[in-house]
Amino acid sequence: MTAQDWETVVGLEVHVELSTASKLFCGCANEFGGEPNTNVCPVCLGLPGSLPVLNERAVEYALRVAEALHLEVPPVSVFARKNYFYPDMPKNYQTSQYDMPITVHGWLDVDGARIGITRAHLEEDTGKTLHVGGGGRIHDADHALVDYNRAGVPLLEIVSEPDIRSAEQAKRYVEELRATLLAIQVSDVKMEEGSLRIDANVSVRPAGSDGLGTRCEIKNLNSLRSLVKAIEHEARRQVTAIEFGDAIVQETRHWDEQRGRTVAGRSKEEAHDYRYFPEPDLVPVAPTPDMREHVRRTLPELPAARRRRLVEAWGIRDDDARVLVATPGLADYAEKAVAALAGGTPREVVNWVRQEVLAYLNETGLSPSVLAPEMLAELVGLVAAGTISRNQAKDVLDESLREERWPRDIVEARGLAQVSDAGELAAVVASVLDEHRGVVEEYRGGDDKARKKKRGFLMGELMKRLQGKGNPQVLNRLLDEQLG
Amino acid sequence: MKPTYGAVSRYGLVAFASSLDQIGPFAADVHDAALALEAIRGHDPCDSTSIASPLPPVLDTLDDGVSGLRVGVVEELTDVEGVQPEVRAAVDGAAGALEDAGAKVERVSVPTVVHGLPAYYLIAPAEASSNLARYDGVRYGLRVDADDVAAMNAATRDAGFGPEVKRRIMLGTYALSAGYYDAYYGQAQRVRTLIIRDFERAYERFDVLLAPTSPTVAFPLGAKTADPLAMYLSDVCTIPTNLAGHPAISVPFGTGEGGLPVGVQVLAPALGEPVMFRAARALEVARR
Ligand SMILES: [Zn+2]
Repeated sequence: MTAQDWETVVGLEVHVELSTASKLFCGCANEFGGEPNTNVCPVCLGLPGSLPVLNERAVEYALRVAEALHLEVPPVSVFARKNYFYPDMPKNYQTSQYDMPITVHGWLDVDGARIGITRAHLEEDTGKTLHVGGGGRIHDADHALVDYNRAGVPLLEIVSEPDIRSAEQAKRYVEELRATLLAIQVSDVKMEEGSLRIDANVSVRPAGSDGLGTRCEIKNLNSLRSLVKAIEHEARRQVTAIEFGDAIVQETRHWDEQRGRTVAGRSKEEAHDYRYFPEPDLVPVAPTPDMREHVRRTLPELPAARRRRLVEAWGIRDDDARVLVATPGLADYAEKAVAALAGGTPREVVNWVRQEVLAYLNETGLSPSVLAPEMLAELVGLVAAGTISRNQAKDVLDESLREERWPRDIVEARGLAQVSDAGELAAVVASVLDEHRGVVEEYRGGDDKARKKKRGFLMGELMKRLQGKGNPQVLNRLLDEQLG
Repeated sequence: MKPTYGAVSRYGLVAFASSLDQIGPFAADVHDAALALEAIRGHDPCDSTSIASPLPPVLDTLDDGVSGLRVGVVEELTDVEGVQPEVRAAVDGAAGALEDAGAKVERVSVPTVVHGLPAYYLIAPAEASSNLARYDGVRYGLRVDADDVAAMNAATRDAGFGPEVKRRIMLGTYALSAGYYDAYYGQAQRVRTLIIRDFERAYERFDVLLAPTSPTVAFPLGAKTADPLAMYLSDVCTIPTNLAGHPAISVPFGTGEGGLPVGVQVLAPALGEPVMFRAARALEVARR
């Protein structure tokens, strides 16, 4: 068999930190990046005598996800304790959900392919362990420090069916999932801050086969890039092993970014028996029909619907719509700019957004929500009215974004406004042609090459006279008329 | 006395077995127990299992007597092998006293209570094994240093826990293990459900139930530590109502061998504290 005869099968477990104001079982602030061990209390530190109380907002967020991902919500779900010892877990058990999760059986469409979602369940996050000394490697470290700020932050673990068939599709699934979670405002989905974390279950099978091969779970995927590379590498590794007659061992593997390969975990230490049992400190969760109805009524437009609407209403390309919707706040910014248009088209707005505005945001790391969409609308209007050229508009937009100034003010301050008035320009053209009568004669008697040259000279003279502010299109038309 | 599960907040109580833990007062007499109960109980938003509805007053009706009260003596906890004769005599004496005070007393069968002890000794250690996991030397309390964190956890727990605690952690860990969960923890929870149903059936006919508090008279401190099973067996009478989450109160009623006190207990359905206290008070009055 050759490599082409194998099919990659992937299922993803995506852990999403919910952006509720407080943690899952206590009133501590749910914030990223605070001083270590400042957002903590007896409950999330697991002190003796403390008890958890479920944050109802987290339940509401889970119900929003259920609506967006077409998940069923069983009448009752139950929290369970997942028991294992780890220093960043204050109680040495994680309060999670096991056999009765809050949502089951949904799907997400990704570029026309339907990816099944097995379940999405609520659980608490752990703290963070920092290994100190020995060059930062766990095994050489002198000691470890633990920060419990993240302990108890609400997580939703979204588990897909093994319906994904390539690394690229896995990436697209995560992109679509992120866009969806952003749209329904349940998480900031920042992979670089750990608010969205992925484990990938990867197996291979002969193309055309229905069975599932032995899978390996890959952890430590911190970016979409490493997700793609890790799945590609792992699938190749498995195919090679099988072709050499080796059996695949079901195991946890870690993605080693530096070496660009997956590495087997220390299976003995990672073979946990979690001894799940129902959490006796919490009561079962039974979302009421009212809660579900409220969520349904207040659910924002989902990315797929929004893309469709923008493509139809604005005549933009699918790809434009995808970029707008996938970038947090960008579609809102563009829609507000379009709403404020006094001249010009939505397509022009989108072109500026995709080029200059996006470049500026990438450069500064700012969110589109801090920009003034009305300023972009004004700029598009100035170009449409012929007040400034596209080239001038680039500079004006750059200054408008950086200095938060209105484009019209910049144009005035720089004296950039184009002269487009045909009457005013006709007089200037007549005067210049009169001044260079000899050139005009040579133009009229010359061949194509000579005419082109003379015309260029005359245009140069015109611009000199107009200090560069003449509208080139209008001037060209007037030259055509007056040169005959 | 032990209140209905959820009547007294567990917030601040060091957890042993969360689904069974319930704070109750020890008092010199029934009146003081009622007084203490009314002071400590009530809804607490910090405990998710705390009862949210108002709890029926106890003190107001304490001396209302037991006239017409229907009392069932639990056969399976009283008339069986292992219950010392002087203990059974105390229960019969208590039943007679209540009858004299106007109650109607009968024997009642609550068959599944005999399975209470094994169910309890699976559920309680299972929950305890998890609740006690936090005592690992990482954040507070005793720490015995070792080469790595797993070894430090083990050394700390080895030094800090006594033999009975270790035994229960081992029992509970085993009961929850993959492959054993259904046979042990799962089965124990099913037994618990059956016991609740049996009690509910009994309370259709009776207002309160009567039983020994312990099958034997008091034994000297430490006399059974070498034989844990014998020690566990002395809980056989109090465990069924504990599994059900129902209230119970033990009242001294006579003495046994060596002049040591013998207790009888009055059991009641969930939130049945008022009628339970009335019966206990009547027993106390009869003894004076
Ligand atoms: Zn907290």
